[in-house]
Amino acid sequence: MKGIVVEDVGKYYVSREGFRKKHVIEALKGVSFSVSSGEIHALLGPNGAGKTTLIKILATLLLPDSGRAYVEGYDVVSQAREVRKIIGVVLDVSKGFYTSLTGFENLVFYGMLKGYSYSDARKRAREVLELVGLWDTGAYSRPYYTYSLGMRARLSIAKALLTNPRVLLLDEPTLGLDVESARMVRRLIVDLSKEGRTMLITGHNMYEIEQVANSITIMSSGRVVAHGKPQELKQTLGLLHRVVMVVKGGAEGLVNAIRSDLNVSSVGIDDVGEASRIVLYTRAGREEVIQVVLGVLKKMGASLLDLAIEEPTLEDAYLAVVRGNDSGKHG
Amino acid sequence: MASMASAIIYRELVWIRRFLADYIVSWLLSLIYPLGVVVVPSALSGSTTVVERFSALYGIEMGLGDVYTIVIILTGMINVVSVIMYDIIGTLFTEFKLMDVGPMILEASSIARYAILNAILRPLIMALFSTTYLAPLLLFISGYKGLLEFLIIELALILSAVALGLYASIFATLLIFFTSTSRPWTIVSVLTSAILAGTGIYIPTELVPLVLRLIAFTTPVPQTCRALFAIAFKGFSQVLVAFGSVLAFSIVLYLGVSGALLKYAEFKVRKGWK
Repeated sequence: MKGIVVEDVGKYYVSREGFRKKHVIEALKGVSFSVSSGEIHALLGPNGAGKTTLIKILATLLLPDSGRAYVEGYDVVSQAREVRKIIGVVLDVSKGFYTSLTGFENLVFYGMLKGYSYSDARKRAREVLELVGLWDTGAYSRPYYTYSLGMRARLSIAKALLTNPRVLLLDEPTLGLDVESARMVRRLIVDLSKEGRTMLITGHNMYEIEQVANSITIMSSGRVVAHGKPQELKQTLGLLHRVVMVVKGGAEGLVNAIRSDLNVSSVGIDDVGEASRIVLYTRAGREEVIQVVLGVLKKMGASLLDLAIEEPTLEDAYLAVVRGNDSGKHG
Repeated sequence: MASMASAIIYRELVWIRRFLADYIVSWLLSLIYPLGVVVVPSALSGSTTVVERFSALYGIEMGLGDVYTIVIILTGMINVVSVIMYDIIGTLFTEFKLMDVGPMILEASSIARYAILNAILRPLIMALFSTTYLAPLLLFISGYKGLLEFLIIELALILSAVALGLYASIFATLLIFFTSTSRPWTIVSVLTSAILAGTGIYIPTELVPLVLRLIAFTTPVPQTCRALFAIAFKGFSQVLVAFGSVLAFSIVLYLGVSGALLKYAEFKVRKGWK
């Protein structure tokens, strides 16, 4: 079953300067993708790509101008009330709460807005505050304006979890967080996913996204430019592996032999004392590289001192997609 | 709807508990008014002169007790107008423009429903709290009759506060969703002063510039003042009937206008129009 379906969604913003002058900004241009239930799906793209707009549309906070979007089968426009019952949303983690109320009071207020009774809202607020680590530290009883950014992010996630939603929409939940808080949020996201929740998450930290996401959609200038699993994306884009070897004896001959068996893009050889450091780039897979290199070494009788095969990262894939899209756009 | 109402009441009571000292100071500040118009003049030129002037101003024979009663009751009106105008406009502005609490509200309900409930419930609570001090003062001046007077006055003030809350929500909606104002407090201060001055609380209405009177007459405040005056001097049933009619008409009118404006504002927000 699909947790989230986005079909050809378009969105433009109208802003006015004075009474007559009107600016129209097209934020989404026919965006389509889908997310399976229980999956963590990452939405990537440079600033202004339309990620937050899309999250807001799925959260029923914004109306699309064209196309359709569904959350767990409910239309976000015509069945907005049903959608609101099953989603939890994190938008800007730095604000969105009453500054003079404590974290606990903010959550109780939100719970009551969402239809909980006073006692249920208090009970649930305590549960989610414990889950995000704001209860034991006593931070729950301090006014929101005293919170650090990390504590604010945790409270935002607690708010999103308050109604025990089946779908979580998280817009840059780790933005500006310190290493420990970001790790805690990542762990929480993975744990929540294990409970079967569908998650749509945006962010700019590729390492982080690679750690948690099952699938990815890359957006640029309001369009989807790539979609798939992280590994698939890297393969589709044909990104190069970086192979670093330190060998003793016959570096030139070794490289020529490897070249005859592998499709190598570029090579560099440096002398490191008695040994040579060879760096080469290839589109071949990891297993093939190991097989060829070890075979050639054996045949040539050279000794291998060190071998490192660096896989292309998600960041490489992302940059390749976004830069490719930008260069295409600018001709 | 009921859960949203209880959420607003919960938040209001938390705020009152947290800022009780600030609230008490602002509520009691209006007692400068009787100090300025009765206590100090009485000390300077004798209470008889003050009573004579008040009798001439209102066209009714009064005693010193009546003078104190009317000015203390009017402090209640001053409190209600300033607290409600500031709280409704200021809080909605802060929620939507500064703290960005709007999405939290939109996630749960609609702006129109929230803002209208807020404009009804906050005045109910704030008017009650900001005028409670009238009870001991009126009890002290008029004995147990004063307490009865307080109950009737409180009812009139609370109903008037609700109408004023809806009136303020019209301005709040216009300022937040249809303009790019960044300092609504300036507008609230001007509006509050204009309403109070135009009502004739500080000087007789005949001496108030027409524009201020016109602003005041878009609110139920002038009629409430007449009603309060009638309650203070008893038996003015016609004034009370007129007050009731004006109040009912005002509430329906403000509800209609603010409801329509808020619905359009919500449409604009959900469309992402600025």
